[in-house]
Amino acid sequence: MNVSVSGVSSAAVSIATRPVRTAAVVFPRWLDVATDATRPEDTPQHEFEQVVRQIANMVPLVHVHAPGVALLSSRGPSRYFGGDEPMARHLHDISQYPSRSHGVGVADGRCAALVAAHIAARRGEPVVVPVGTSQHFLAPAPVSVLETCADISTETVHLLVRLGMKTCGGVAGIEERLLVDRFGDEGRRIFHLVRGADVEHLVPRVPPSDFSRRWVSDEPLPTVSMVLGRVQLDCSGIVGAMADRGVQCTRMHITVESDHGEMNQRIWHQPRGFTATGLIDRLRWQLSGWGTEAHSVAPTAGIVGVRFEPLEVRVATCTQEELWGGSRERDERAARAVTMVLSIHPQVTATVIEWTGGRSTATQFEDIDARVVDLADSMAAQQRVREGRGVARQWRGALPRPLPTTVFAPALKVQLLDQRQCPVFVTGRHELSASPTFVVIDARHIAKAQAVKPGTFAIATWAGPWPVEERWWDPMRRRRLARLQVVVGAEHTGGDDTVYLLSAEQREWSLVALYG
Amino acid sequence: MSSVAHEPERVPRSLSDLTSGHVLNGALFAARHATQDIIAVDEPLSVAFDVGGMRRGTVIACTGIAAASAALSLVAAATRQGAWLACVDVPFLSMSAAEERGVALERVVRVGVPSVASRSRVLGALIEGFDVVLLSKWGCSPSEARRLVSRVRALSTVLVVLEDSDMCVADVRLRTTAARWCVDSHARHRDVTVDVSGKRVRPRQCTVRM
Repeated sequence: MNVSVSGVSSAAVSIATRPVRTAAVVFPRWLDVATDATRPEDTPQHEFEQVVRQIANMVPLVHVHAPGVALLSSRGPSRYFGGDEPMARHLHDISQYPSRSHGVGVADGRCAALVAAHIAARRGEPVVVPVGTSQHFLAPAPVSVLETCADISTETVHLLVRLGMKTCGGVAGIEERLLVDRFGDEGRRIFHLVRGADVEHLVPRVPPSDFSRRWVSDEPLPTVSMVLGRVQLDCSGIVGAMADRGVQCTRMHITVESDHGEMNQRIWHQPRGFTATGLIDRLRWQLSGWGTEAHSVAPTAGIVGVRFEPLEVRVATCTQEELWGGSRERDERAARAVTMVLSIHPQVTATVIEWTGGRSTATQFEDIDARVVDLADSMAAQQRVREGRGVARQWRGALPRPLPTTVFAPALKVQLLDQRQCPVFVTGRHELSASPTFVVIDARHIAKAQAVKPGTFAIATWAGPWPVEERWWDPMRRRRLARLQVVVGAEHTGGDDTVYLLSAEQREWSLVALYG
Repeated sequence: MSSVAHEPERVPRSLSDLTSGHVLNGALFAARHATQDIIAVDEPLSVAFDVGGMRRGTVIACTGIAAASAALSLVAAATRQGAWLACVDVPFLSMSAAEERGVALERVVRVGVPSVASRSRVLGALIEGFDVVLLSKWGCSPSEARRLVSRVRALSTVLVVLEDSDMCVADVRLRTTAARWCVDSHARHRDVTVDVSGKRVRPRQCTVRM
């Protein structure tokens, strides 16, 4: 058989393509704003769906990066609106969402467009980068934009900074050969990114269309869950077929078709490669968004077809299977259980943990909604727990180990008294005004779920006080407090020592934690 | 319990003895609970278990003054080896302390179940999907609790409960008492007495430093 491969380099590495004129809409703090979680459909994804729908009215094919980030090819709409500027302004106007700031950026290439949108969000007006000037535009940007906007790993970005290349312009001065030597395939991507080019993880020898699948049903399916149930096997099939060839999909085009021939299409992006649950999740998002649309565009009949078309695949280097196998399957099982639990009752919550840093044990880790993350993505989970959003791990003035196991949020008000029953306070030089003898826990301050006994307890010994001065340079957000460990003697708690962690702020003591 | 204790111990003396149902069942039981059914437990608390770790498909109750520390130490090694942990209704449990005791936080999901009505369904789903489930209290009817325990056995999950109720007898009970703290510049460590009891467990008392 004679197969001719033309215009394809034989090396199976990512290749750079000519940048496509791209418009980006970014809501920088979409996930941070607490959602009103009383209704089950109020996940960040579903709220963002309203914005995506507005954009989809202008351009049919919207590329959803994550909740709060959407991209679209701007060539067509620009021509319609008579230029990038009017188009960006129109996009800015239609993609508004109450109480959340957003920005619209237009540039050559995805990375530059996202950076422009982030800048626009701060300025409050669209930013348009002229054609052919993306490299010049990116030059003064810090290299960390490669992480937020182009999925370059955190370690690589940190290393670049340590090597003295703090801006994209600095990196652009380095030869491609040297970057590839140091960072391998990622170095090649960095080389093209800082020049404003789009980098796609194409593997030339395996055309992505080989993996596309179309699921067709004889009878129209009326509900989202029915469609998801039928398509589940196909999703596992796609992911499995790719894993067999050693690749994973990072960008997927999903088209849904109704019985009356209506179509809904969208591009989804997952930098670490889609898992089967990840695909199902995106399809649920797309279907539920389409179903609730204003009736002029909503499907008038059941769903008869779903088409998955991988646009970008890459060699599966990021998420290797565990050496002993099986772990992947465990991750997927847990992810399925969480999805199921959340569907049982709208008030059930499931959260995963993110490192946010700080000196207080109550706020060092933050709970984030499990619905906005892919639980089966173990790389993302490790990064979330170890680095969070790049906050330092070591904090001066953090609590000495061992750490308390039970934290009270909010803290309970207590009284600290000396021998003569007078309140003890911490002086300006961080010393106690008298030896603390009693700690009084008032039953009125104990919330329902908090396992503390009220009463007056004699203090056997104490350690501290340890001063904490936070942001003393900022008059609005400065915080000054002192922490004290008190050991409550055995005779009061039935034979056991208990250690409480108290904190004094503005002459008021509160019980922060308990060493249980 | 007492009648079993007074019975002379049965030791298979010949092949014919082995065919008798009692001994054979015992051998089968031992084979089924071979080492792969044991989830390792970190150093200070492993002395509380005969086999060096928790058996899959058991319910463990941690109570007393150091219940939270004991529970975190129990589950830490399992999460590091790839097990997923669901923490149900324990908003007060400090994740910093969990990390300090070696829990792999990337495989921890915290679940809050405010309504009583759906509680057993939620717990059932979690027992099915997770390897270890940490629960603050049962909070459901005794019959529901029994059903959940049989699910735990069938699916080889480990359920750690921070209360010891009459509703359901735990397979292993760890009661922590008599914590003595050593305090110098700060509270450094404490010696906790752990009373171990339960079904098929040799009752004992050990002192561990946590």
